[in-house]
Amino acid sequence: MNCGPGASRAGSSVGDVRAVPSGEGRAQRDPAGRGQPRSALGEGLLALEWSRIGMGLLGVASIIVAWWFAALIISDNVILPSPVATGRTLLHYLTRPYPARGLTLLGDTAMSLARILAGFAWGAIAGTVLGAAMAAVRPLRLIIDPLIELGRPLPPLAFIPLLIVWFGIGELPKVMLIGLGVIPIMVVSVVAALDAVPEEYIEAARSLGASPGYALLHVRVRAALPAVITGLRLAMGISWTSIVAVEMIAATSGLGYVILEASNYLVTPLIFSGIVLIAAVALILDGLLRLLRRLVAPMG
Amino acid sequence: MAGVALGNVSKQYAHHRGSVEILRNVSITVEDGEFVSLVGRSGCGKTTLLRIVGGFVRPDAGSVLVDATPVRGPGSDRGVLFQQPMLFPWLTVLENTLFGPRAEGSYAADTRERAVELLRVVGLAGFEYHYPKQLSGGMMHRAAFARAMMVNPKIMLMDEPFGALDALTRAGMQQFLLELWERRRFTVILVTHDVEEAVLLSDRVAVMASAPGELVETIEIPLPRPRTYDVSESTEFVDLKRRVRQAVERARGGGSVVGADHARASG
Repeated sequence: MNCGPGASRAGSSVGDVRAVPSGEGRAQRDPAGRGQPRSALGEGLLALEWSRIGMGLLGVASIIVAWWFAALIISDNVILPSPVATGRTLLHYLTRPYPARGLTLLGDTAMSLARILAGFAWGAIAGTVLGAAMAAVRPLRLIIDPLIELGRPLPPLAFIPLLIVWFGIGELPKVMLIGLGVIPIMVVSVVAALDAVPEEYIEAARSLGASPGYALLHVRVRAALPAVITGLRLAMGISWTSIVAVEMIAATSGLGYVILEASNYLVTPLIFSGIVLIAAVALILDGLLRLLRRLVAPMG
Repeated sequence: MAGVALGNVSKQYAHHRGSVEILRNVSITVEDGEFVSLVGRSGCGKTTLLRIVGGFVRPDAGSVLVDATPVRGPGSDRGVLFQQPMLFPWLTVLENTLFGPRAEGSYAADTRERAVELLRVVGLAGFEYHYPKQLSGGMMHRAAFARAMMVNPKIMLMDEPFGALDALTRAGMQQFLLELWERRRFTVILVTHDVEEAVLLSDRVAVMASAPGELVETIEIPLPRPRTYDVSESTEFVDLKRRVRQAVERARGGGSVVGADHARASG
C-alpha cells in the first residue's frame, strides 16, 4: 500500500486487517489486481465469459445433433425435416415470399418485431408507471393490487376474440394484446424492486446531504433498476407468446402467420424456419436486455 | 459547538394491541468532540435513540438539540454508519465517496482530490475504481467511513458498525476508528452491545435498561489517550469493563449479557 507518511498509522492498521485470511476479498487474492484493478479484473471476467459462452454453445450443438439423428432415423421431411433441410428452406424463403403473395421471411420477422416493440414499449411504460405509483402511494396499491392479481392468471390469449370484436383485425388489437400481457408482469416486478431497496440506503443518502427527491431518484429508483430490467426480460418472453398466438388467429403477416400457413401446406421445414427465427430474434432482444442489466449493475 | 442534547425523550410504537414504550424520559448531553457509547441488551431502544438523533424518527415527547438547534430531519451535519456498510453497489468506491458532495451540491474543483486523499487515509489507496462487492467486510466499512467523512459531519452516529465483522477484523476496525477519531476529534455516539468495545473507544459509556428504554447509569472512562488496543490488557481497563458489565446486568436484573442474547435468539 503506497501510503505517505501522514497515513502510516492508518496504513499499519490496514496491515492488521489484511492479515486476516478470511477477511480479505478477491482483491487480495489477485496481487495483480492491486496495481491495475480494472484490467486484471477484466481479464478474469473475460475468461469466465468465454467459458460460459462455450458451455452454452455446447448445449445448443448437442440439441442440433440430436435433432439431426432423429431426422435421419425418421427420414420423412414432413414429419421431421433435418437441420440441413430446415436451413436450406430458411435461406430460400429469407428473401422470397411465401406463399407467393405474402412477405419474405425477413419481412415477416420485421413485421412481428415491429408489433412486439410497439406493444412491449407501451406495456412496459404503463406497467412501470403504475408499479411506481403503487409503490409510492399505499391506497393506490390497495386498490390496484387485487385487480392485478385477478388479471394476472388470465392468459392474454383469452382476450384475442374480444380485442378483435373491439378493434378489428388491424395492428391495434395486436399491439394492445402484447401490452396487456406486459403490464401485470411489469407492475409486479417494479413494486417488488422498489420495495426491496433497503431503507438504510435512503437514510445513508439523506445523512450525506441528499434531499428526499434526490434520494428517491438517485438511490431508490437507481437501486431498483436491475430488478426492473429482469422484469422487462420476463415481459419480453410473454410478448412473444402473445404475438405468435394473435398472428395465428388474425393476421396476414408475421412469423406466427407464416408458421400457420406452412402448417396448412405441410411445409414442415418452413414451420421449423419460423420457430428458429423466433428463437433467434428473441435471443437477440433478451441479449440486449441482459447487456443493459450488466451496464446498470456492473458487478451483477 | 456541535454537541448533542436530549431532554426527556420518549417514544412509543403502535402495536397490534395497544402500544410498546420504547424510550422513557431519556436525557443525555454529549459534548462537542466527545466519544459516547450507548450499551444495553438488544431491544433496549438504543438504536431508536440513535435514529432520533439522526432525524429518521420523531420522538413523541422531549427535545433533541444538535449544535443547540432542534433536529427536524436527517442532514449532512450528522454522519451515520450502520451495521452493514450500505455502500451503493452500482458505484465504485470513489463514486460512493463523491455521492455526498454531489447530493448536497457542494462538489468543487478539489472535491475529487479530497476524496482520493480520504480513501488513502482509510487505507483504500488503489481501490478507488473497485466496486463494493470486490472489497472485504473491513474494507467496505472503511469505504463507508470515507463516504461519511466527505461531507465533514460534526457528529458521527454509529449503530453497531462492526457487529457483523469477525473478531480479528473488528479489532482492526476499532484500532482504525481510534486513530481516525484521534486525528479528527468529531463527536461520536456509538451504539453497541459489546462492553469491551465501548470501554476501549469511549470517553463515557451510557448504560440503558430495557422495556421501557431508560438511561440508568453513565460511567466515565478516564483511560489515557491516545489509546491503542494494548490498553485492553491493563487492570484499569479490566476494572472499568467489570463496572460497565455489572451496570448492564443491574439494568436488566440478573443473568449474563451473553445469556440474555442467547435466550432471545433461541426463544
